Amino acid sequence: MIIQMFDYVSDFGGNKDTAKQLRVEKIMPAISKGKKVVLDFADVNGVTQSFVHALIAEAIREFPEEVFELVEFRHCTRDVQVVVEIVAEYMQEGSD
Amino acid sequence: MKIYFTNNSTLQNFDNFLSKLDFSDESKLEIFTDHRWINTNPAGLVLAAALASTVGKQNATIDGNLATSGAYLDAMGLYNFVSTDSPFHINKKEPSGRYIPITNIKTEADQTKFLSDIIPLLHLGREESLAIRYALYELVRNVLEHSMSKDGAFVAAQYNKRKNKISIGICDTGIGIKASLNRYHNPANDLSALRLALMPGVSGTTSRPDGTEQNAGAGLFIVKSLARITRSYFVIYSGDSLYKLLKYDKRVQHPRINADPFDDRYSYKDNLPNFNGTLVGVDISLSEGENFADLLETIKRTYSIAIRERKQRQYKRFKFL
Repeated sequence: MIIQMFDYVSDFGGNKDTAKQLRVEKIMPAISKGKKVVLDFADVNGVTQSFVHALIAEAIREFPEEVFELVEFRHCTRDVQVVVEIVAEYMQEGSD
Repeated sequence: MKIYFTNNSTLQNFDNFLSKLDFSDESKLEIFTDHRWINTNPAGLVLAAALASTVGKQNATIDGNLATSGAYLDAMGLYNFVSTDSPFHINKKEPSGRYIPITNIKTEADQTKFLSDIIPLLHLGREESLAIRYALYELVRNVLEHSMSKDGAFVAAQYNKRKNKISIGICDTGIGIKASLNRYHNPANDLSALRLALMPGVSGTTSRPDGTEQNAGAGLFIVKSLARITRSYFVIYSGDSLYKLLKYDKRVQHPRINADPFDDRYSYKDNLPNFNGTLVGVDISLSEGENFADLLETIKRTYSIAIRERKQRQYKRFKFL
């Protein structure tokens, strides 16, 4: 499944309700079935940490091994990539 | 209630501005100003607008004898929240420019529309635009999720092109930081609550350091960190307490980002007039050629360390006799 993030957030991902909607309706169901999810950030200039957390933190917590195989990020600006990495790192750091 | 805008109510002197607040009569708001010169910032203005909304426009006034620099109050839209007519209407500036006038945001949809409509009007460069959107999204969302204010968030911002500095103010008249953190963290007082709120991984919605599926407890920490690494001020005021991040020493090239805000260079007050709500003011000054991604990289390098530090502080320890 490829999710074109621009279609949901325009050029900046900050709306956590949108992130939650994508997480609940698309990302988590796909991962729980072992399906690959591509998050394509083409034309998205930036995101907030809160947005990315709402988008993928639960997936990292629930599927700590599989998520890094099943979820791919495409066309991320450096701004987007750094924020995704911040969330991925602290979710693994914070896990017990 | 009374507010007095002095000739220097900038974030640097914000404690002085706050110490002059008077919340004794909650039925009306009187705004006074220095008659020779007014120098304030968005944080002071959003506080005035939020308080004016609690008493109603008809019960809020601005003292008529204003300095010419009082036109700033008009340009930022403060007169929209009070019953006093603006004496500056003849010279009214256009809404587009280097500032975002005081705006009341009550829903996330309001916020998204506001940011997509207003930010382009500022004519900022890419990096400045990312920085201001990042901070506004995080700060407004915090209010909408945690403040329980029926009036939502009051936000304003301005951009100083000469200094390449973005100044943001956001205020709510909700339950305040201490009450917001009470359920899972039980802070002893308002200052302890501010300290906790600025730590990474502390959220009012959970005691877990990695948050819930919807909240990480990182928003305020990252915004404060942006101020720190750009050598700028950050203030947060709630209850009777103020935490003010001070600029780090110029000789320090790469400032450390600390998990505990009390490890930063800071000042505080814990005997201010008791404010039922939360006020945040932040400056972000990008150096020439500096990318927003560079700032985020700096935070990324230290965020996990900061989380680990925070966890280690909570570890139980054996007694060695």
